[in-house]
Amino acid sequence: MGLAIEGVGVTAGGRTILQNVTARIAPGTLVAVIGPNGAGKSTLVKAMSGERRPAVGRVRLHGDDVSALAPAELAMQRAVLPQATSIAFPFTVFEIVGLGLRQRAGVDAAMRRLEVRRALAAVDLEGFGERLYQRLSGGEQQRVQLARVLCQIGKPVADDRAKLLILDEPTSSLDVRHQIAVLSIARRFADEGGLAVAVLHDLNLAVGFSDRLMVLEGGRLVADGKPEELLEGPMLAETFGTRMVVIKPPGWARPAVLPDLPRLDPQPR
Amino acid sequence: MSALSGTPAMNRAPGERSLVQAAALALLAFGVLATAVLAIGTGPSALSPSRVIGILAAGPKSAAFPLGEVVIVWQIRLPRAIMAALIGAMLALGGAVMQGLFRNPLADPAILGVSNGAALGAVSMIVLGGGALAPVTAILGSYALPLAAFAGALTATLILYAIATREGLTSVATMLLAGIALAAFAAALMGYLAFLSDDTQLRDITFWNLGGLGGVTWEKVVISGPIMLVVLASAPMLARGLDALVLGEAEAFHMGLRVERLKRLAILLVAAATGLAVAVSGTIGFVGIVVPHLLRLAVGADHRFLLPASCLGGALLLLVADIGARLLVAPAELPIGIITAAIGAPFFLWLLMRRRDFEGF
Repeated sequence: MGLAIEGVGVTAGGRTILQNVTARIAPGTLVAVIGPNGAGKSTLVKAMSGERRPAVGRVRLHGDDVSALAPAELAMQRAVLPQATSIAFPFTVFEIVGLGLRQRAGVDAAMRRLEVRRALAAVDLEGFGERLYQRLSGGEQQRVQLARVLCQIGKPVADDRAKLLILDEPTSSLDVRHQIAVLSIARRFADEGGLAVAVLHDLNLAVGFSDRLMVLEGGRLVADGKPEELLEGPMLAETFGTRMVVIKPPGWARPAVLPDLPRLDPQPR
Repeated sequence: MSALSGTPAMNRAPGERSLVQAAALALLAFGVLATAVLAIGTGPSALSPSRVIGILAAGPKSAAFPLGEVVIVWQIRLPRAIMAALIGAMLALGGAVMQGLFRNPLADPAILGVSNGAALGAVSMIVLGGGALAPVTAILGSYALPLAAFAGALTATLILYAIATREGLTSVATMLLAGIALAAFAAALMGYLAFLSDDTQLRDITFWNLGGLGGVTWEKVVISGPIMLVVLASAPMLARGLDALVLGEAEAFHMGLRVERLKRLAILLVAAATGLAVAVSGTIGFVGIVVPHLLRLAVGADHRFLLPASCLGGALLLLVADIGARLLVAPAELPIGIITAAIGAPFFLWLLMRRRDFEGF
């Protein structure tokens, strides 16, 4: 059970984007997908979410091929936070978050209000209900979308089946406090038995929050394992093509990674 | 606490607009009825609203009123008012659905060549219906013209969508430019058909280009009305899907929607609404962009509200425009398309200018 990625390969226009990616993700796990730009992270997300049927292999959620499930059925078991969502029409924040509840059966008006309010509180946007989505900052919009996604997915586990929460670069336009808040939500989702996958660029957030790192490079899964273990070798530095310093601040549960910045000569006086 | 939460107003969440929207729908519906009464009273022999209501209530064969007035109300102005309302509803609905499909408030069947496609279909039937297209006319009879308009509108919408949308992303610049080219091309073909046509056909074509509700009879209402009602009735099916599509095609899929099916339905509906309207009244512009936009600004963009409200708002606008068309140059009558364009074109420019408030293209 859980999420099974079985020999997934994706090609587009004759170019190979993903090649033979295989992994299993058990319920209760938060996986961070990392890798340099163009490594195939977004394509892997599309394959996992059922949005893109792989040319080779398949992705199965609790045994069901995700690209064969009916969209409505899939939507009850997995939700996806997109990178950025701009809209052209004047919807209020309440209305956007409420869209996440549309596919769920048996949600009456009172319950909708309650769930939307809870989701907004979870992303630190209490009192934003009547604001127009278009007028919010990029980071606020991203958090509204997360609230919508939380409404869609509901509880991390239903009928003994773990649900799948996919976050595609959830922290890209957030300040530090909200980066931590958003990943804490994903962490809690996994801790309560759900399956969580987050594409991340910030290695420290990836190392700090995830149970496991999946490292993509050139469309291949080049490493897959516990963050602490992956940090020991030269693997990450080679993948990203830059030297890195791993430090373990006293009292920290997990190490931190610093890119080795080019030495800047002091300005001549 | 429980006493307070019992009242809907106290329970309403900030940003939830369903109550306001229900009130707006009721107000619009009342407005349509009231304006229809005014429209029926307007004309060379003016009738007061109470007299119009009296004649309508008494029935078409009543002897309680002068025969002339009964005939004017029942045979001439009532079918015209019904048609004006239905066509306004079609135009605004076509606009609202097209904007949802393209995820852009600037999409409009009249601006992007869909109406011209429909007019080209209709004009082809007028000019060639006795000649090259005679077999079609023979089979379809009075339905040939509306169907030709539908086919023209469908072709135009499909071409536009194929050009402007790549992998789920719609380029607004491409959409507008493709629409202009499409409209120009259809206009060129219509010009050629006009060149081929005789005097009577030419007058019909001119009428089509300006748009008008003259010559609406019960016969036309009976032919097009029921199909228009079917289109109106099927619109709510799209509402949920269009709401999800607001976020993007991928996001709509993530939320459980069959996106391809939704897009096909939306294209069909746009083509049907535009084709039906154009077949009866010619190309009447800007209703499809003005009405949905004002409603979104005033009371919200949720399609479950926007689609029915646009139908009512479009009906209201066209009834008002039709009153204007008959009053401004009385006893003559302006083509109604001139009035909607005179209101709508400046509105469209204003829209383009204030778009900078939000994100660009």
